[in-house]
Amino acid sequence: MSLARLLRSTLALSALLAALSSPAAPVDEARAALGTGIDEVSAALRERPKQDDLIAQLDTLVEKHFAFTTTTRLAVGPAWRDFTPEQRKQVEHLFSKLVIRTYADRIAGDAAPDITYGAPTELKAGRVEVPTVIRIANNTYSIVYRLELDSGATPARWRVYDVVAEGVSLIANYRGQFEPILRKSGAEGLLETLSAKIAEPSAR
Amino acid sequence: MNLHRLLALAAVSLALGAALAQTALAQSSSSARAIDERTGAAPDLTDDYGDYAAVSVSDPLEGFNRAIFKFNDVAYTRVLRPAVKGYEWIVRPPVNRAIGNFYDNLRYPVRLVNCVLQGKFTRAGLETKKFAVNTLGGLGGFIRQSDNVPDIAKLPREDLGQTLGFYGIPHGPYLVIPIFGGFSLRDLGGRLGDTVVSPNGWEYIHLGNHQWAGNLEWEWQTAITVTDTMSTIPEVLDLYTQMKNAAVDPYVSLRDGTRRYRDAETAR
Repeated sequence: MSLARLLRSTLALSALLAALSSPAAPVDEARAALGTGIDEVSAALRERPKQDDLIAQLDTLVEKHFAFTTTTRLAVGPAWRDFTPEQRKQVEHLFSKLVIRTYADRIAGDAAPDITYGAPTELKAGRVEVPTVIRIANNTYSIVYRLELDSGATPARWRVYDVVAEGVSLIANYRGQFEPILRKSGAEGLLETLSAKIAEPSAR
Repeated sequence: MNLHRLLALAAVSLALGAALAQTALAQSSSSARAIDERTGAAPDLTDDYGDYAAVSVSDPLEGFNRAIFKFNDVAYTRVLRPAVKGYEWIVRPPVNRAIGNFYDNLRYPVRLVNCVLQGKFTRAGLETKKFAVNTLGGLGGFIRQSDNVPDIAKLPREDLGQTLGFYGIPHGPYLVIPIFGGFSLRDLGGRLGDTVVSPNGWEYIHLGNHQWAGNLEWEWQTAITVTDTMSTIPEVLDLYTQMKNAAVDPYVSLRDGTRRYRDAETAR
């Protein structure tokens, strides 16, 4: 084997190895996952199911595309450390119910939104932010999705844990509301407030 | 002391140090475990709560504000919402949108002046382009043609409240005004100041002999104010209802949400 051939095959091999060992960048994976999630939710909405069916469908999709435990934990804040496992499970259940209901109310009946994805940025290891501009009817909204890598699942997946609409973060907005309730009446108080809120019919 | 003994001593003290450090670590993790035994929860080793620091809204008049908020809520749901339904029955949403576009286009001087006050000259130019496109190409502003022109499709809005924020003027206390809703003192001042440059607001202020405000009869002035206001109300009320449905404390949700929204707008 000539030296040139040896060199060439070594180069080819190392290029192959490099291609195999470097998967897509986290930001791209996260962005792709967000795209799939939004497409699946939009597809569910396009079928225009009845409100209850829609909520059931969204339940499944939320589990798949949303890291709701992280959302709940961050909305509750440092007080989460004092919650029992049972309280954590309950608050997550009630909170996700409230958010899904709001989301279903808001988007049902809307025309299919037109979404433009911006350049994603890595917030820290395992956390990525994807800015989007969403156009519905006559309005454009700037909505930033924050995704988290769930490395516990096989295969590892990216899931949304926060939505920042026009500068207002879902987590931050609830944190501000939960905080006085937690300070005044603790975990049980928060659970009561959430149950009462869900029992209340939503205004049209 | 010879070199060998010194080295041996150093080795021993290093080993001892390491052992001490390990014991300390073990103790701290066992104390963490002790907390977990108390709550029975999986260890919460994450410390990302600081990523969502609370927004601090100065609200010394909270009791008073909450009372007005309650009054407004009744006014919105019992009076304004039915009125809007009636209005939408007469003026169909697409027509209303056109009216909204028209008045929004007329507020061009407000945006222009505030771009200039903040030294945002490129954006002032783009605002002018947008005004020209919508006025000339969009039938006097009824059709928002600028949506189809990429560089002016979504210009961040500018107003006096943002200009004041740009120069570091703090928000001041939060105030809830009957019907008009909640503002920081700074944004409320900005709103009032903007009416001076907004053609839609000219009828409120008497500019000498009305030379440049035109000599509009009061009927026309009222009609302008009413249609301008009505064109924006349906959308605002929808957002309000959605917010209320989602919130466990609508007062806090709206107060903090508005502040974050305004701060994000000011930063753009």
